[in-house]
Amino acid sequence: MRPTAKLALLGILCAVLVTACGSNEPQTRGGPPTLRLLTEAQYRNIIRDTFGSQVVVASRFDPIVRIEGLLAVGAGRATVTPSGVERYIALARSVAEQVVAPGNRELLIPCAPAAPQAHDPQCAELFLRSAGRYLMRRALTDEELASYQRIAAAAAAANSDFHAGLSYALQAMLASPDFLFVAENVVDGPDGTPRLDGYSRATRLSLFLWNSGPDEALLAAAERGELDDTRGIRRQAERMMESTRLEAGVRAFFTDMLALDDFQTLEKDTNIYPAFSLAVANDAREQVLRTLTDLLLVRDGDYRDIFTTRNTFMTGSLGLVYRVPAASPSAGWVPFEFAEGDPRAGIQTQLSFVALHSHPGKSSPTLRGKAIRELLLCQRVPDPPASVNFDLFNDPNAPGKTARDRLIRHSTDPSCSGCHKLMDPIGLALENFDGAGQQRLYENGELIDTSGEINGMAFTDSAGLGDALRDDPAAPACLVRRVYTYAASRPIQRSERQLLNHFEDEFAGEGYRLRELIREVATSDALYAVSQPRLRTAQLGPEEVSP
Amino acid sequence: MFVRALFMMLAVLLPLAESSAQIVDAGPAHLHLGPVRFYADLTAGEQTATVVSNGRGRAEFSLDRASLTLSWNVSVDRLTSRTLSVSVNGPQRPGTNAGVQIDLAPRGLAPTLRGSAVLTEAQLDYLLAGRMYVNVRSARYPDGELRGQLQRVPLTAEQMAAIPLPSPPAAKEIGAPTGAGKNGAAGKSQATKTLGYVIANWDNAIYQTRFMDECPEGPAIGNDELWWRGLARTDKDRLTDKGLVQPVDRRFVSVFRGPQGEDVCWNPTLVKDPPLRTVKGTVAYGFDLDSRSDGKATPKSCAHENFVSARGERGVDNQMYRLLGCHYGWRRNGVLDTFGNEERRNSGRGVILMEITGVTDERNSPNVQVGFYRALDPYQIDSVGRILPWASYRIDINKDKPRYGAVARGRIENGVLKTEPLDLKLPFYSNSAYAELDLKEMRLELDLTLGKDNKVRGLIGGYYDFDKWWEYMLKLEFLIATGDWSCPSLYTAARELADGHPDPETGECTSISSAFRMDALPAFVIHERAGSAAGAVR
Amino acid sequence: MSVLIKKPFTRRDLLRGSIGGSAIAVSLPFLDCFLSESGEALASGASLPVRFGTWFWSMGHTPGHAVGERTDRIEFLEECKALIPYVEHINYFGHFNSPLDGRPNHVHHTGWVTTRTATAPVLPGEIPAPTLDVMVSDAISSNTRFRSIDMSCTGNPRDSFTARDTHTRNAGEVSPRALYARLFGNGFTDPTKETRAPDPDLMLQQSVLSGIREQRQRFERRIGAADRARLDEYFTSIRQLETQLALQQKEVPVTAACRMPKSPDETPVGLEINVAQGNHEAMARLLVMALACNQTRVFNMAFNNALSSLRRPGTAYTHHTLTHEEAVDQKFGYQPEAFWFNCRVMEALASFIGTFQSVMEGNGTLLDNTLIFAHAETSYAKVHAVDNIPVMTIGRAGGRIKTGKHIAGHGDPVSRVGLTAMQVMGLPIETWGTGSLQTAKTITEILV
Repeated sequence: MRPTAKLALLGILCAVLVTACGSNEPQTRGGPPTLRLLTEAQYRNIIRDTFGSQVVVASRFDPIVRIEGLLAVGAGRATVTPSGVERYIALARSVAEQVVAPGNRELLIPCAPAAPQAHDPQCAELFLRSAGRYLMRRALTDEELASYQRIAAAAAAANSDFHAGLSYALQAMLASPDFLFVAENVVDGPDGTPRLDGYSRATRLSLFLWNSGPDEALLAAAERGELDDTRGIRRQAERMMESTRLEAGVRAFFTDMLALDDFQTLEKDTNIYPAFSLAVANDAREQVLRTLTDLLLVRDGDYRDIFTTRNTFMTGSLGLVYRVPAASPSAGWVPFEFAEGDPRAGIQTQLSFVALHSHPGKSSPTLRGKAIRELLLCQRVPDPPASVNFDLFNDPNAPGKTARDRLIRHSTDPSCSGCHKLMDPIGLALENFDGAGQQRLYENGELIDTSGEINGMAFTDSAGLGDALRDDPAAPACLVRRVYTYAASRPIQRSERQLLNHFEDEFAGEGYRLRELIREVATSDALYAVSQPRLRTAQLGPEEVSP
Repeated sequence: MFVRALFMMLAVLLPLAESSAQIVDAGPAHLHLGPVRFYADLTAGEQTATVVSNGRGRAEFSLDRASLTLSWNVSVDRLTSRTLSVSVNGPQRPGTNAGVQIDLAPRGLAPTLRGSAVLTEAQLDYLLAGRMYVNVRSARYPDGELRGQLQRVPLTAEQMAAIPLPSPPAAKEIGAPTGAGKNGAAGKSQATKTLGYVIANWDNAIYQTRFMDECPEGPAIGNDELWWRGLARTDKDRLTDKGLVQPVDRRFVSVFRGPQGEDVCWNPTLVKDPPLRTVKGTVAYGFDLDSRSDGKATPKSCAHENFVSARGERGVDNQMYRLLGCHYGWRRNGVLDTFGNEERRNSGRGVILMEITGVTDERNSPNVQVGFYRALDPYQIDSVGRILPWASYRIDINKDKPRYGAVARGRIENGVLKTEPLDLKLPFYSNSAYAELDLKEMRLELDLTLGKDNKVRGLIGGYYDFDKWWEYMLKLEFLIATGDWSCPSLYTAARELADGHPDPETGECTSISSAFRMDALPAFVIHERAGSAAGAVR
Repeated sequence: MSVLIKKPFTRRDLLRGSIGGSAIAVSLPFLDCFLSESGEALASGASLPVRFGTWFWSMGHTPGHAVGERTDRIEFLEECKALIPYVEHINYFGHFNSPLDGRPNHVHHTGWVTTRTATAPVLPGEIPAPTLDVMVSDAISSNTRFRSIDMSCTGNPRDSFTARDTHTRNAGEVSPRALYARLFGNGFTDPTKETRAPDPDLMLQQSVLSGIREQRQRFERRIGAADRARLDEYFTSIRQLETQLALQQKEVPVTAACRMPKSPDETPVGLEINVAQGNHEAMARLLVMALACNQTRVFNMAFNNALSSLRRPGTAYTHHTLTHEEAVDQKFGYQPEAFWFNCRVMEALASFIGTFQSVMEGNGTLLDNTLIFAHAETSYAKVHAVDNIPVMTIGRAGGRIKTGKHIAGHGDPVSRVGLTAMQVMGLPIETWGTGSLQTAKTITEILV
């Protein structure tokens, strides 16, 4: 090829490369570095990744407050209460003892001591450094190692047992703030701007994509400085996204976004809903996660289809509640598709929505409407005023048979309608699902009217509601916001508004594919940008605190 | 006026669609028949323990149907010593002692006692079941010197004839819509639909009236009593430890009352029991199986009496009811079917599926098929022990064919399914026993309107193969005391009353017309083998 | 002081100064004596620690049917009739209000926050200051195994009303069995057993904890000031545990009533009223034994959650929805179903008091040596009123307060009650609260 043509080609190539690298991402200053408490799932995952699944983590974890709709952000505010510390210490001890127990130690400790009843500093160092690297998500400093060695030596001497010594050192490691908290390290970049160090980037990426600590390859990349630029990050992100472990990360994300941990305290009255058992509750939680991962990861589908998809999965116990055939009560998970035209389309009709956002003995249009607004559209509904007079609802001459009748005041009374018109039309469309999520046509002998309107789009049933939600631009915008917030694990800064718009455009341009969005966010500059850590004392900021 | 209204109300209180064997009401009270009368002959020999006395007594009772007031006239004579008390005791089993239910001398003792008391429902039950006796205690015999079981004074033929027959229904009473409709998947009309059900409860369909007038002589006499009556005086004390040994534990002795100690269930013709008290009433649930109402023999049936149904239909053939209807164990509060249903539910065995295909309209479909299958999967039970509707059950398939898979033709009219006769075998399980329920010319009438408890209710009947039936009855031998029946009398009567499928050589009928009440819950009948994905919903 | 009470000991023993331990201060004034680490023995002869706890219920009272308005004595009406047998142990505080200074009334939240923290929250879910029990436990729980024992009868650990701030909320124990394991499992020294030789494990555990503490400076260098505050509680607790381990190596002073109880059966947890009641009773029994065995001095019991989701099986309505949606019955003048629940709540409180009374201590009972601060989050749930929230103290606090009194607040801030309670417990606090809830006025009428 002639030289000028080559140059031209190179020029074109460069241009293509530059645009392909998404450099139209708005610049951000980033947010402050976070200090996050490990969530229960992250704790378990890191232990499992480091020591394998034969080590059992049996403990209760303190609940975290949800901020900006995510526990991931709340983790950045969480602290450990005295009873929490007690539990962590006990748990650390339990895990440490399991790791050094015969049977496990051969697999988990990479060396044998020179003499089994005495402390062996070399073998101890080997173990402590390698375990510590995964647990702390960075290399141990010499000072830290020395501290742990001291503990191990004293304990080994007291017990005349090398492994007992290791156990105390490991316990100290597992109860240390370096393990329990994800602290982000800010260093000076080449141009003097503050930047996250390699380990912090690795951890941010790894918690986002896999909900666990960085694996060996990622830690090595961090140590080699590869994560300091976008290319290196992209390489690792691609690798991690190819892995089956991405599913765990996506599940953790949706569990947080859809507040599925509320299932832990969900109660249904067994007299009113005899079919709703603990098995059903567990299956319902799993069902929505399977539906989403199937649609968004396996099929790489359009995110907006979550409101209209008829493809889901069933088990025997779910079949009872949905009143659909299941292959057999014990067959496990089986793919299932609702027929064309069936109103049970979209995750908003699944038990994980309608049963979770209901009362123990009856449905609740308001709770469901609020849940859709807040969880799927990221629109906050104000709290009710304290002075509501509920006498308006109790007209003994006209007791409402259906929820729509009973809630008519919500839409006619001016002090109520402002907020309730945000919630009720959505929730009333789902009234064909009772408090346990079972389909019904009648309530108290009267046919249920599920028609309504949202954003000017009219619908007659829950499938129609799904169509209307699908077209609501707030839905993909909400996902973008949540994904980015989750990855950054801190409230969105004002300066990041443009960034969100950029992500939204990219998301739309890529056909609303979740993988693309994840890739965009994981490889963005913004995710790793930090501003100076705040040194003044904190107050509760303008972000809301969800009770 | 009130009484009349009460009677009218009670007379129509037994619709076809009834709940399980435990019916709350007991049918018409027949108040116009006058009081129900009982008597007891009091002798020393009736006491459980040995008593030496020439004392005698007679007690006569009259029970007012409307008020449940029991009036008595008791005379006692020639006691060995001073009378301590005279009472009606119960509930007892033959040769056992029971507590006092009614003090017959509330105002003091006298050679002749008159009085009255209002019975509770429970006492009425014991009385009708033949479990009450008069006990006279004396100073020498403080447990009792004289005793006599209350026997019913049989209704006269005139009284039996005065029991009114239900009249045929006016227009379309059957299957009137109850309004709620079938809650479930919104049924958009498609070509044909399939409705699946799992059978929950299964009971012999026993028509009962409040004062057991269909059994004018009283309840059937059970094995326990026959055994007791046959014992020598000396044996009575010894075998029952003066009445302390429980009836259930006596079973091992009481059925071995053949001449050489044989088990009289396995050898029912070895002893001659008094003839079974069969149903003499004229109303029964069931179907007209032989398409005649005169009861005459035909090439396919033996001569027998017909019944009128509770809806006034004539020609009902239900000889099984005739046989079982006066047995306390099969009537309301009786244990045999109730326990069977409960035990089946908990065991997960004997789950029978019904599948109706070809349904164009759930209220009216001219041409449907009804398949009966055995399920592989146990009932899905909720936390309180109720069977859950809408569960999925796989059919037991052997080499691509269901092991039990008979299919009947039928139609749905006004929400009620009716089938054409079909010879049906069902994998029946009840009371810890498997039985192959062999119903020839089976008919089903099932009201498809879903009740508030998610159940559909129906009547299923046909000619029950005699041998198969008796085989099952033998498996119930362990319930012979609690169910209060006796093998020789039942077997003998059954052989006489059997009315279907005469043996070509002997002419003896080999099947018994019968009817069963059944309720079922909506279910999904899975035809695929385990492991394959369930298809899309209809 | 290290007193293992195996035989009755006399004032003389105390005054002599020690029974196998350090000296006992008997000649110092009341408050100082209490504040010292050793403080169980007083010259007055009371030798037992005073315990403090809170008992929370929601949905308040039914107006006009709970407590009479007369102030010469406490008149418990129909709804509170279960409390009548205990009236001499109770002080009732009526018509104390929660002025909000224009801050919103976050329903079922603001009322208990003002009562416990003397500050009205601005944001929903906010807890702007430590609750009073946390302040008390900071002062008196330094030498017991647990800072406090927190329990929730609803099955949800989040239903707790004790916190240092919004993000540092003590989670409640929900299962009697789990509570038992925590209190009397590993780490509990059975006082009826002979004392053992020092356990090397305890010392090693201490070294583990101090190793963690050593990292504090290193760790804090990397984080901002705001986050440092979050770690405070963590490191303080580590220090606490160290101290506790040190104490475990000496004898733990217990009362004569201390016995190791039997492990309770596994029970379901949840919001059905009988389930909540059952767990409440089981946990109360464990609690009083833990107090008798001096495992803690501070406790918090939450009977129902702020939005009382208590319900009766087979009904669609919860306690909370009934308070709003049930019609007031014309004949009775109240909401009958909601009233039913309120009665059950008061019965539970009565049973709680009875459990404390059943443990003998010194010349009286555990109840005599305890101060229970019981209150709700609203007065009339139907309208979310936060004025006149029912507040009671129960128990004689070791003889430091009078009881049986009905104190009329005349609209004073409810923080007066909490302030008085804290002062009774010996905290050197003169003012408490912010804005119109700030107060320095002790309720002297109940002081001895």
